[in-house]
Amino acid sequence: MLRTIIACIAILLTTAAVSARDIVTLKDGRMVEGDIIREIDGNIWMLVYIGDIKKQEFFSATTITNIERDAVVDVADKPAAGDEPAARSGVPRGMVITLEGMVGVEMAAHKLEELIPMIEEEIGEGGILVLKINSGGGFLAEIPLLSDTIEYKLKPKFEVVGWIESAISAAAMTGITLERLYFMPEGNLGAATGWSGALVAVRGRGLAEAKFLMEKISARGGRPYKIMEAMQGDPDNDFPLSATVDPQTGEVSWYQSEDDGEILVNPGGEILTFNSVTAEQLQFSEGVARDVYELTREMGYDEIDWVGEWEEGMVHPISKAEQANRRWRGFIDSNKGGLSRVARKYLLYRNAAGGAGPDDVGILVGKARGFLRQIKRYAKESPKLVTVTPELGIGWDDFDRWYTQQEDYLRQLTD
Amino acid sequence: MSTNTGTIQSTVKALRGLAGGLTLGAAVALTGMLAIPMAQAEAAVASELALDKLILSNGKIIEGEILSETATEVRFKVIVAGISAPATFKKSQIIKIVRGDADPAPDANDADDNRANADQTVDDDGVVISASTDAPRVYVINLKGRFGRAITPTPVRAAVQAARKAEPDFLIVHLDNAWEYRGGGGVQLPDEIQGSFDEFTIADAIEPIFTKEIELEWEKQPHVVFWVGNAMGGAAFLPFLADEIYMEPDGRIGGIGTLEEMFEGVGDEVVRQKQRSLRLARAQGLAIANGYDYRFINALARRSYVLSYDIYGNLYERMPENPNEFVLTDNGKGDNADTENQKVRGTGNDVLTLKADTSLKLGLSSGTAADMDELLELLGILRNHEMIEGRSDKILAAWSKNVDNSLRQMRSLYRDIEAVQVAGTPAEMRRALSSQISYLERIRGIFYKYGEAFGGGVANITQIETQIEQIRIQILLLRD
Repeated sequence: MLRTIIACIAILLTTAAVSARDIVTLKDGRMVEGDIIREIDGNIWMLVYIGDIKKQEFFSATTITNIERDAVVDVADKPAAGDEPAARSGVPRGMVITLEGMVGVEMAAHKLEELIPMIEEEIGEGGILVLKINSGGGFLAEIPLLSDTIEYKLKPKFEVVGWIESAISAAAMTGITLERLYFMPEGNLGAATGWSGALVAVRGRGLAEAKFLMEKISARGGRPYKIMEAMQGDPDNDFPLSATVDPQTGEVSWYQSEDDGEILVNPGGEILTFNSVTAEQLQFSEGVARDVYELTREMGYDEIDWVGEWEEGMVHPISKAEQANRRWRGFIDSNKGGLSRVARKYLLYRNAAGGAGPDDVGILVGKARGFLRQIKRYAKESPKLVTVTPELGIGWDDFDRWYTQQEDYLRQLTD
Repeated sequence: MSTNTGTIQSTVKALRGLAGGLTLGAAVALTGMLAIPMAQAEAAVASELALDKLILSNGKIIEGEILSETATEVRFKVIVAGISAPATFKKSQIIKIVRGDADPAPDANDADDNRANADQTVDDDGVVISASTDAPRVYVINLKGRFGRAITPTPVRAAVQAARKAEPDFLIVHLDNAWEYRGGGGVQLPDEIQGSFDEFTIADAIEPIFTKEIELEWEKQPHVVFWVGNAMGGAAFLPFLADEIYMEPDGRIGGIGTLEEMFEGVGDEVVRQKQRSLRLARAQGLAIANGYDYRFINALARRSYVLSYDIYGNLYERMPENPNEFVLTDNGKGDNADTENQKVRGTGNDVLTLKADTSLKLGLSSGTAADMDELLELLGILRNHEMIEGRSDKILAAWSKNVDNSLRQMRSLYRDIEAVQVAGTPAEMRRALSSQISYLERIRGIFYKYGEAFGGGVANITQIETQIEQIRIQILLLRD
C-alpha cells in the first residue's frame, strides 16, 4: 500500500516538474506559479493550483518584480503550495448582470454601456463582472456593438466572465467575445446560423460578412474560428468538427473534419450547439455552476463578495446596476405588447381607409393617424422595438423612412 | 448511472422494505428483539456502499446522506461511527459534493421510535400494516389524458401546490399519458412519431413546477418519484425531472422521434439543422440539470444517432463491439431501418423507446412496479407509510372537464356569431354587431383561461382581437 502511495506521489511530482506554468515574482520575495489568465496595465490575474483545486489570485502591478512566462516548474525546489501565505489582498467584489431577451432589443449594447458607471461604483475597477446570458438570438447588426462594448469598455475595467443559461444564435456570437465561459447545468450555446423568413439561409455577402465578423470575435475570446463556423454552417458547404483532448496536458486540438479528432463534435451537414457537458469536456467552457457559490469555486476563488440583494428563487443577488437593467427590460417588454396591438390596429384602419369610399375615408384615416402617432411614441422610447414588430416589417434603422412613407400614404388618401 | 448502481440500490431498497416490514409488523410480539438485528443487517449492506461526502473548504471531509439541497445550502445527515445527526452546510463552505450510491443505515433509535409510535391496521390479506406517527407521508398525483391538453402547466402547478399542503415525504407522480392515433379511431400509434419533439415546450414550462418551485416553496423537500406507464410524446421529457424513476412492467418513455424530419421541406437544410440543434440542446439541458445522461435524449429524438450499452450500464455512441454490449439505437439506415412490423409493434430501434427492462439495466429506472403496493415496497415504505388523500387528482380531472366544456362552449359561441343577422336600420345593425363583439369577447375570455390546452386548430387571441377590431370599424362607418 505504502509503495503504491509513494509511486503515486512520484508520478505527481514528475508531472508537475515538467508542467509549463507562469511564475510571478513579488517584491516581498515570494514566487507564485500558475497560469496568467488576464493582464491589464501590469496587473495580473492568475490561476494557481493546489492539487486539483484551482484558485484565482490578483497581483497589482506595484507588487510585481518579474514575470516568467511558460516557465518549467520544478516543484521539488519549492515549498508546497499549501504552505504559501495567501497572495490576494482582500475579498474581491463581484456582480451578475443579466443579458436576456432578443439581441438588439432587450439585449442591447447601449444599455450595457449605460450600466458601466453603476457597475464600477458597486464593485470597483478590477471587480468581477459576470455576464449571465439567456437569449434565443436576434439581430446580427447588434453583435459587433455588444462585442465592442465587452472588449473595449468592460474588459479593461473588470474581470469579465460569461455565465451561459442559453446563448443561441446572435447571443452565442456575442458570448464568445469572452475568454472564460461557465455554463449553468441546463446551459447551451450555438446554433448561430443566419436566416430569415421561412427558414431561408443567409447567403452571399451577408454570409461572408457574418463569417468575417465571427473570425474577429472568436479571436477576441481566444478560440479557433472553426468552432463558431460549425455553429454558423453554410448553405453550400459542410463544416464538420472533431477534437482531441491531450490526456497529458489537457490541451484540445480542433479539426475541421469528422475523423481527424478522437471526438466527433459536429458531423458534417449539422449545426453545432454545445450543452454544459460537451462544452466542459472540450474546454469550451471553464466549468458548470448552478449558482454564484458554485461559480465562485469554479472561478478558482475562495470567496467573492457578491454585491446586491437576494431575492427568492434567484441564483445570484441583484445589484443596483442589475436592478436598473431589469427595470429597463421590463419597460421594453411592456412596450412590446403595446406596440404590437397598436401596430395591428394601425394596419387595420389604414387598409380599411385604402378601400373605403369618399364618405368614409376621412374618419378611417383619422383613426389610422392616431395609431401611427402612438407607434412613433413607442419608437422614440425604444427605437429597436419597431424593428422586431413583425406586423410592421420595418428594416433595421429604417423607421424614419417608413414613418414618412406612411404619412405620405395617408395624406394621399385624403387629398 | 450504471446497471450495478441501479441493481444495488434496488437490492438495498428491497432489504429496507423487508427490514421495515418485519420490524414493524412484528413489533408488538417481538419488541426490540428483531428490530436491532435487522437494523444492523441493513447497516452492513449500506456500509459496503459509498455514503455521500462533502469536501469542505477547511479541508474536512464529512460523510453521510444529503437530505436536501438548495441553491445556497445542503442539509446533511452526518454519520460518524453509526451515529447520525442533521447539519446544514452553506455551499460557500463546500468545495465538492461527492455523491454516494447508497442510503445510509437507519438509526437504531429511529427504529425504536417507530415501534413506540406505531398505529396498526390489518389489510385485506391479513398483513399487518403499521404506520407510525412519524411514518413517511406519501402523496400521489396521477397525470393522465392527453399531454398538452389534460397535462399542461396550469393544472399540474395547481395539483403540485395542493400536494404541498400535505407536506409529503414522497411525492409520487404516476404518469400515464394517452398516446392514441389523433386522427380518430383510437388506433395505437407506433413508438416513433414525427413532430412530437416540439411538445418539449410544454414539458419545459412544466419543468420548474417539479424543480425550482418545489425547492423554493416547499418547507419540507419531498422525494419526487415518477412512476411511468406511458410517457410518450412531450411527456417523455417529464420523468427526467424526477429524483427517481420507476416503471410499470409495460411502461415506456419515447415517441419524440424523429427530430431529423422536423421542418422537412421548409426553407434551407442548414437552417432546419439550426432549428433542430437548438431544440435538442434545450432538451439535453433539462436532462443534465436534473442529473440524467443527455445521450438518452439524443437516442429518444434522433434516427441517425447510434447508442449502445454494456452489462454495467455504460453507454457508447457506436454499435456494440463485443457480446457484452447491446444496441439501444442504430442509425436507421438501409438494413438497419425499422420494418413496418417493428414500428407497429414498437420493437424498432431507429429511435429509442425506453421500456421497463432496459431502463432498469441502464440504471435510469430504479425498479419496476405493477401496482402501488409494489412501488411502495421498492421504495421501502410499504409497511410503514401514511398515504395522504389530496385534491390534486380532482384538480386535474376538473381541468380536463373544463377544457372539454370550454371547447364546446367556444364552438357554440361561434355558431351564435354566425346566427346574428346584421341587417335593418343602422341602429339595428349596430346592436347586431355589438352582440357579435360580445360573443367574441367571451371567446377571448375562455381562451385566456384554457388556451394553453387548445393547441392548434382554434383561433388565437390575436385573431380574435383582430376580428373584434374589424367589427368596430364596421360600426364606425354606420350612419344613421
